[in-house]
Amino acid sequence: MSGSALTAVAAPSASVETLRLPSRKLDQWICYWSIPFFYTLFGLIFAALGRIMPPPSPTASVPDILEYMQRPGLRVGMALLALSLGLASLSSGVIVVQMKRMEGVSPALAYAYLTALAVAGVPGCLFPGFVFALGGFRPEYAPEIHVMLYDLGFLSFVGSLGCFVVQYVVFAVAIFLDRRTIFPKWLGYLTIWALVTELVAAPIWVTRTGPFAWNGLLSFWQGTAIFVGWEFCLCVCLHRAIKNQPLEELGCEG
Amino acid sequence: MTAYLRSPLTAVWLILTSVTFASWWLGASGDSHRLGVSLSITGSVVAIALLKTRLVFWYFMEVRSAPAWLRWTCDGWLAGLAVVIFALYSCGS
Amino acid sequence: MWFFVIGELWIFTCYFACYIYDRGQNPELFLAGQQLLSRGIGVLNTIILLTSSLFVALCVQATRARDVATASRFLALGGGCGVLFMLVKAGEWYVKIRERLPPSLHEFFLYYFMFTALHLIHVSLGLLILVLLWRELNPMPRRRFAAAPGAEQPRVAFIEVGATYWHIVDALWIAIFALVYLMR
Repeated sequence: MSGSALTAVAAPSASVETLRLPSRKLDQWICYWSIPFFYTLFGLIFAALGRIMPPPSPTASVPDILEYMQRPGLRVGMALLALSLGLASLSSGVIVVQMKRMEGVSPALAYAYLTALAVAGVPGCLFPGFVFALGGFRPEYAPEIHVMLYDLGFLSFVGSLGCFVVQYVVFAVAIFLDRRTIFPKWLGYLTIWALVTELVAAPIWVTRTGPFAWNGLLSFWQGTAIFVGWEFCLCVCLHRAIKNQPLEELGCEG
Repeated sequence: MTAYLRSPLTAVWLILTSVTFASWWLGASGDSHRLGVSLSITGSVVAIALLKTRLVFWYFMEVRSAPAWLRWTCDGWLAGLAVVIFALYSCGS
Repeated sequence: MWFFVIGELWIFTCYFACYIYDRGQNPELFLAGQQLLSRGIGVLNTIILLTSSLFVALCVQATRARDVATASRFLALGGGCGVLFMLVKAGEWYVKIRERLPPSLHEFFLYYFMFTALHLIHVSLGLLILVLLWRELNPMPRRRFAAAPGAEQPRVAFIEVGATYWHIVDALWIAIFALVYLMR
């Protein structure tokens, strides 16, 4: 088998192998490191600049809403978002590469993951970005329009947490079916646990106060906190998966 | 199949079901026209629920024969939940 | 799986905490809403789920004794109860939704529907897991013919893990029943 022959040749020259490792998997490592970079940027855009996270109250008064929409931070943040959201695809790319390595798992799951994340990212991130940007860059609109943009932006941003459910389910199923344990099984359980909390975002359309509102303890805070934890665990597992990927597998897909 | 039904698990089930009826009676007790806030009823209802959950953990989920850390975690969670419920309940009323 | 269980217990604890806190803020509203719920149906559902848990637990016993036929029967009974639970819940919801509830009780019913909906999702997931357990006990014909009879034994650990999840679904319902239907 070519695989074992390659290992037999590579094994004695261990120093050569360690030298070659970074450059052979460089594409994956670049994608991998884009994840923390992207999320730091995300934090900057949505929290520091835009102050979209944590969200303000759904019952804010009209003058408060107008003031919120006219902040220069919001405009800068949304402009940055429009430029940088594409980075998220790098992270999906590297995860898909690892998912395709799984044994006993149809590649359809990997593609489903990719598509689900892409589809969910539009209402979850890009669309609210545009909505807030519109509010910020067109101050001349009537106050009612700004109120609507405010509502639409947040309902879309927080409410689309449920869109990510398919992505989570597909990922978890793949992990459980995988005979090679590219990702550990506990990550599968964690994924299912996280997706349940995402579903709790559904009532934000119905209520404007209390824990199920878009700034509520249950619909926003718990879901977001668990998401952050999950993303962190994902990064750790992904790092291990990329590191442990045997060299002879590279360049073999497709 | 009936041989299996004669296991201690069925006894646990009987306890659980009868206790459910007891809590139903408690929940409906008081007066028929206006049921009000009642610490004693809440207390007993929640205590029964915690007991039932512990039975489910202990027997159905076999935590009874599980490693110590799991037993402590389950009991700890039940105790914690009791504290949380009563603390928040007292805060309000 | 136990970490998953602990995780679920954790998030439901948060939900319960919010619920109790909000209830304390507004006892009249919650009491009024609770009046509109049928305790009897709640009890029925509790009994159904407790029975299903019993069956699943007995299934595990039977699996350990390598009595696959009985284990499958218990599993089917347990799953049947699970389906029954969902049907009763659906009926309860249907009646509630038809009733056109007063908007002043909005907050209570939001909690009611959210808790029961979340729980139903767990029940569905549980039923899916029970189906997987069934497949473990009764593998597809080609697997059976592939090996010598008796060579393919069901993995007891797998059955136990699935059963654990089902019991958690039961335990959560016990808590929901007490907090939403009964407590004052």
